[in-house]
Amino acid sequence: MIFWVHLLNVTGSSSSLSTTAIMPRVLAYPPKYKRVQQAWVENLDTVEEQKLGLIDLHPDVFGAQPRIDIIHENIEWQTKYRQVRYDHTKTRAEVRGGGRKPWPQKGTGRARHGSIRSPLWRGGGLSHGPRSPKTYFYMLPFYTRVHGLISCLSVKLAQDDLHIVNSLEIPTDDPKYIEDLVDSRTWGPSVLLVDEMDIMPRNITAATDSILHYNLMPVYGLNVYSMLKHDTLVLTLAAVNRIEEKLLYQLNRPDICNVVKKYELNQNG
Amino acid sequence: MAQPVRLTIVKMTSRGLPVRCLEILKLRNALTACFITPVQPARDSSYQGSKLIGPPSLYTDVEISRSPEEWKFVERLLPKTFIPEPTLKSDYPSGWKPPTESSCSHPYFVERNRNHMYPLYLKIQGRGERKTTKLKRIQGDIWALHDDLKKYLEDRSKKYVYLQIQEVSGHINIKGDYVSIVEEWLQDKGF
Repeated sequence: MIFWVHLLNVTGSSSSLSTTAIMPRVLAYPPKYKRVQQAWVENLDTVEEQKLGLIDLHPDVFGAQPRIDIIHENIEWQTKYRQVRYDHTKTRAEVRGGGRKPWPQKGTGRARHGSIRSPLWRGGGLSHGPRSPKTYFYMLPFYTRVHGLISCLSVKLAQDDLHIVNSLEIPTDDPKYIEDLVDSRTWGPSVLLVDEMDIMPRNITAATDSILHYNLMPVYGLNVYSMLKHDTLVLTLAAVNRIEEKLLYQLNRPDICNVVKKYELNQNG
Repeated sequence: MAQPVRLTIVKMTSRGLPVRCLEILKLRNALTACFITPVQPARDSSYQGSKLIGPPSLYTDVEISRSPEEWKFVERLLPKTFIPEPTLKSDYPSGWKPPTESSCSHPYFVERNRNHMYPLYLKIQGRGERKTTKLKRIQGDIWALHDDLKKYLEDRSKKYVYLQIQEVSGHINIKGDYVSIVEEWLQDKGF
């Protein structure tokens, strides 16, 4: 924590950040036959938009085919996998009573019964009712989730809902500053700001704390549901580097068998 | 340095606790600082999952090297975290051909997979009864690719060829085993 405070002081005032030149990005796993995507790097220091530079984005991460079926699968999974149902009913064995045969098998003229708590009876147990707790946990295959993230990032860039900023430093901690900024740049009603680390600068944290539709997120929390829930996605340069590094590694790693094996439906090989 | 190590081992054995390999690994640094001891390297990551250690006579002697020049003999055996680019040659004995610039001249494109091979697979189902050739990673105008490929396959095989297009995922399924013929077509196109 002490180290972090020192780092914030060293980076200096906001004016030095806005004049910092944006270095051209070198792409890992350079694409040979795909067109490189490009995006402006903007600033958050002033309410008015200033374009600081133009950077290259890898087409495999930001220019992939938008697989809406995979995006749908991811959202469905994110909604369902953590659901637990707690409703519960008793079976005929659990309902109080019903151990004795109510009347003899033959001779009474009435229907034959073995217990007063069978499902046929009023007040009897439920044979196929809900049994708590019921979990709906399942894991989506690893590469379905990777392609979900890739498709979502590509969709966001293609639909002009992706903005890249140099850093999340803002001059004040007033929530109105962020609201004016978002309004003037016509960013969506809801904004998701993604940085590399989960320790964010003080001002942006204080400003967005009271506004529920502007949310801060570290790179490890990036998910398809949040990206679609928020209209605009704002990534810092550090976050873009980290996201590309991680996703490109997964797309090009040589040992996918080890990764995929865990999520195979038939675990017997 | 040796004294506290010996005491710890004695304490553990005297308490009746079985000495696990993982514990020995933690003490190994202290041990090697004073003398080379034969220890079994702990391969399991959990205490409960580790095997019980036996007498040192059961294990082979291990020399622990601290010189970086010797480490290269182990490092060259470790698997790489990336797939290297193939060395450029005019001809390869395996028959592998790299993608050429003519691949960009078509309205469609078939990308190579991470192992620099064609995304062409043979699916066998129903105990060998049903064979399907699957061509993946198709970008651009998949219908134009379908028309070109169908014509080529029908010319080569002299019979009607059934193809199925899956546009959303960029796949084409061909009924039958046409893997080598499709591979030749891909090579002709320069993919």
